[in-house]
Amino acid sequence: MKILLKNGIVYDPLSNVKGERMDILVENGKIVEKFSSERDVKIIDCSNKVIMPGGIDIHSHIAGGKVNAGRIMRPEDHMYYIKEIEGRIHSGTGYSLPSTWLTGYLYARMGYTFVATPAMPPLSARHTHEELRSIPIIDKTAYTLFGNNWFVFKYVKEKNYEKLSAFVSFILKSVKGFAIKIVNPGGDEAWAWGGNVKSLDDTVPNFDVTPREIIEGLIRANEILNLPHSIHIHTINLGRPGNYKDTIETIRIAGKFENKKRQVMHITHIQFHSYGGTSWKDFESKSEEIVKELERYKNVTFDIGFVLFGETTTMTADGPMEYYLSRLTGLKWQNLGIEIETSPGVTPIIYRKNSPVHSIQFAIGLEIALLSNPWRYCLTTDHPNGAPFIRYPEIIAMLMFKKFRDKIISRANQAIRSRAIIESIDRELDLYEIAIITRASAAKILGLEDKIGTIKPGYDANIAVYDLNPEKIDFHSVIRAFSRAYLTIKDGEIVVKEGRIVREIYGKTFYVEPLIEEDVEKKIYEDLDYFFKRFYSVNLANYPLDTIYLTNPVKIKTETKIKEITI
Amino acid sequence: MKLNPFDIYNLLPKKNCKKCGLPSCMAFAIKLIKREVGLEDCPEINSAMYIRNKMKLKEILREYYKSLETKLVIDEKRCNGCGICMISCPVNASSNLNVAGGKGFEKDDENLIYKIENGVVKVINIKKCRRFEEDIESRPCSVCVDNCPTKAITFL
Amino acid sequence: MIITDVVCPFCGCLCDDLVIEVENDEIKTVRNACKLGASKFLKHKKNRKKKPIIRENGNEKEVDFDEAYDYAVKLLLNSTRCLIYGLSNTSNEAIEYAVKIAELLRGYIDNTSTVCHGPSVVSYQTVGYPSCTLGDVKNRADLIIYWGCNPLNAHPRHLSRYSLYPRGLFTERGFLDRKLIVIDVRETDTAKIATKFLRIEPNKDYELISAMRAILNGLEIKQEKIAGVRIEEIYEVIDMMKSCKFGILFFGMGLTQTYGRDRTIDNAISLVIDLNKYTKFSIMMMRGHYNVTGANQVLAWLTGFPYAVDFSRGYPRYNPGETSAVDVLARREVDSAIIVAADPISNFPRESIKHLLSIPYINIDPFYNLSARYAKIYIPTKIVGIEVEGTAYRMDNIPIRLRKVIENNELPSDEEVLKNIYERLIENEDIIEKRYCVRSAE
Repeated sequence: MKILLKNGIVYDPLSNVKGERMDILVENGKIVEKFSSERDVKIIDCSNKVIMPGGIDIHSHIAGGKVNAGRIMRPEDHMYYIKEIEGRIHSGTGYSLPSTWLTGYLYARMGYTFVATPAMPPLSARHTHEELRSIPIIDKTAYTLFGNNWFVFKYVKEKNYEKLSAFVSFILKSVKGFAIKIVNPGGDEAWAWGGNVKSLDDTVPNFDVTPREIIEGLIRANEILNLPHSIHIHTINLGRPGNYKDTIETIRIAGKFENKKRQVMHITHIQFHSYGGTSWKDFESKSEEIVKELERYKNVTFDIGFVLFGETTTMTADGPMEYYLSRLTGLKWQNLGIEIETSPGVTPIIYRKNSPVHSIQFAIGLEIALLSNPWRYCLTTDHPNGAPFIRYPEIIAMLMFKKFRDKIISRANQAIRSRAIIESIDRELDLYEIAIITRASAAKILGLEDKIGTIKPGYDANIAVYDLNPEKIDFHSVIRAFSRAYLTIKDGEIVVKEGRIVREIYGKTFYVEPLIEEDVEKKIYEDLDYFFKRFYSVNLANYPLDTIYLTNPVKIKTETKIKEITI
Repeated sequence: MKLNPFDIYNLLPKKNCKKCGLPSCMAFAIKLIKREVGLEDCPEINSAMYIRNKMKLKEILREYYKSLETKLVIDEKRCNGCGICMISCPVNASSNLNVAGGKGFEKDDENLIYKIENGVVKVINIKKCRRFEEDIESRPCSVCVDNCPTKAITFL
Repeated sequence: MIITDVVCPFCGCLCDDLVIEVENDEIKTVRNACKLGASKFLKHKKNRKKKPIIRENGNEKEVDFDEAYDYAVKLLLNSTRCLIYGLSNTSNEAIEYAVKIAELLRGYIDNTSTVCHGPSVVSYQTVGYPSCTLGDVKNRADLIIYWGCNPLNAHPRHLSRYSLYPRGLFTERGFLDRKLIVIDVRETDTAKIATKFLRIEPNKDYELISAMRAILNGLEIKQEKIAGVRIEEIYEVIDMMKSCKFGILFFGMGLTQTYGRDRTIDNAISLVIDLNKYTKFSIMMMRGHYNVTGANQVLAWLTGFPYAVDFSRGYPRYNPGETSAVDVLARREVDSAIIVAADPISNFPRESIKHLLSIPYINIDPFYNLSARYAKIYIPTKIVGIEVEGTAYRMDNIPIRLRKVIENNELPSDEEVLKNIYERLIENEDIIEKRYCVRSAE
């Protein structure tokens, strides 16, 4: 199929196109410079319409054990958003926890074509991939949890980075993961006994390692294996007053490392980690301190994790935090300890305008976004923790228009004026910067800029067209346009037309396969054998999963000669 | 396996002929259980009339004498294959990692005592059982029997 | 040939350490499985058919599979409301197709949890579900409670593999490091090996849990006996719960299907949440069929709801008690049904069976069970986990891929049957669309 998008206004930061009028040519799923022949070309007039590469969400809990546990636990959530079956397009329900078919449709409708689901416990990786398999249209990938793994504790304690790398490569290969995700390092292990780690230098009970050592060790393993993405970290003390100090400490760890190609640490949903004060009463924004620190450490990237007012579900692999939160709100709570590996939790939350804490949380996200360089961060809500992903257009409008921001702020609790600085920030992002934070920077941070995130010839044709005239925009038109893409093209197929799903196709699944020397890999076999026989409840042979669970798998190979690296 | 002298007596000729040198058939039955006399000591039972009883007796006694050696009897009908004996046995657990972790193992090994096959417990090598160690008084181990919920395992 | 690491497709334990010896496509020995699991493997050839059976006017005839699919599609197209029920003894892949069929036909879909752990799921939607995996229990738990369940008969290897006997990292001495409390109405096999056994009066679980929560939250109880249990014993159990390092409460039908049902489990889960103030405590359902958890999970990710889903409005709707299989049958709301890997005739209430017998239904099952004997059309399939691979979920939501042990080239799998029916329905999409539009116009 050949498609010609005529005369659109293109924003493509990775090829440095800033709102130029261009024609985009699509043939056989790829973007091309010239059609092979001029026959059968479907011409679509895009004058006065914005064209961007397909959106990329770097951190969104769309699939996996805890997402589905949330779905089972919250039938009430599914009544807020329903979609009927239309011909071959499936039905679905769910607002903060959309069912899998619906997830794909809703993302495509916003012009998104790539979503990474963070926090896949290796033991239930099959579940995550089974869900990803039934998410239509978008490309997807999953980060694998490592921060509370007993093997990691063991090797970090022994300072045996060779074995640690071999273990990471073994797990990523066997569960088809994409990156190293660390959630509350050591904290989940402490939570298995009802505790938590309080600082980066606390020791993890029974294992004699500290969160700092775990992070450092895993950065090392990540650099040794030379994975496309850096470590993806959700650091300790999420959501607690005064946690900005821990965040700064975590950022500083990156100072020890260097990588010429990319960042060495990606801090996720940094909004939840930028709180000052000593209790909920003097809770305040510390976004300036965090941004200042991030300015000093250029090899750290981050995503925001905006909070918007309304009801949603929180779910993280940070078990103690979810318990703590559910005791604060008094709402239902679910814990899903995964032996040896992690301990996720789920609880609903309602962010209220009249709550000082929630208002300040809302402000912090915007503050960090507006004070930072767009190439350093991506737009996320840590779906569904801050807000469901279908509310991204609202955030885009708030970043673009101070007027809209002020309207919301005026309705929020007045603490937002005294304990946050959002009111004093006048910056307004333009469409180019929006294209950066929703597309380009995410592709770059993921290390996939050679595969996704731009509309250069030769790339897969993942394109979003928004019915938006950049000359005449206000927040209404921005929200409307970004909520319902005029066109979404995925792999050269038109999947969304004027906000309606017209075709169901299945996207790619990315995973890495780090190759290391065989004899290095063999060194961990003895430990694997021992741990699986003694401590796991499944056998080693039933642990790895096949590519049959992946739709159109894309393998990203990295090769390392561990022996040649001085660790 | 516990054997009642009456079960033996019922299968004997019950003639009290004293040809074996004992005062009664009952006494002969008791001596049989104690293994002080053999079935061939009874001249009457060898006659064709008792050939069926003799076969039965032989069978019972063979099983019984075998269990006297191992001192262990398994009632397969009662066993539901829960594997508690296999896992709880300290000898099994110390010689196989899988067993220590609560799992079954792949291959027989002469250091192992129990295995579960076709849904019932089987003995691999009873000689490794702690009750066969020389210093029997100091380590009287009966973990498998104590923990068997269906009482499918008994020691003599 | 010896096949190792075989997964047992019998109960929710999904033991994955079976060793099976196969000779000439015959299963010779089954290692490590309990009596229940071993018999499924050893007797898998019993009670099977090789061809689909159609029943018309009291006559039975064997037909080809293609013919059977066409017949099934015709049957479905001629009905207005379809119920899909069962799904707990088949793979996730098959369940996905079942959901697609239900959606396309705007029918009902329900799995067997509706008659077993349905109340647990409902209460989990009310108060939450602080749980963990069985490996956590194995490595950490020093207090194990079985309430209203008898694993030694229903999940025989549960104790030896996951809970009481294995030697984990923090439970080096196995059962010597743990305590077992059994709460039940009779002294079951499990109760015989318990450290502490509380015999309660039938249907008084709610009362006992409330008393426990009251004691836990610092109230004093003046009665001498609660639910037939002496008060000192309750205090003793509460002390054991509070002083353990990692506790786990397993519960079964004894709690879900007595008076109070979901309310009782609400209370039990709240007890566990309360206990987390003192120590780490978790709760877990003892799921019966090997993939009933998977059926809940697949339904949840495709429709948003774990069971009792109604597509009549074109989108999934959930209201157990209204949209659950037993009720739609009792209300005579469906005029056709697909029963997949289940036997409702032998365990549904009478009213529901009466209606089920009066409508034409399709039975898809490896075994020729009671429901198959009354089906309009019976389609035999491969046994998942013995003759075909597939994914299933253990009772703690851990996915495991079932293995194939022997070849069977004669029969299709559940997945293939449902896929064929789905694809043939899609070919008749316009008929379905038209009917649906007419119905909504009316």
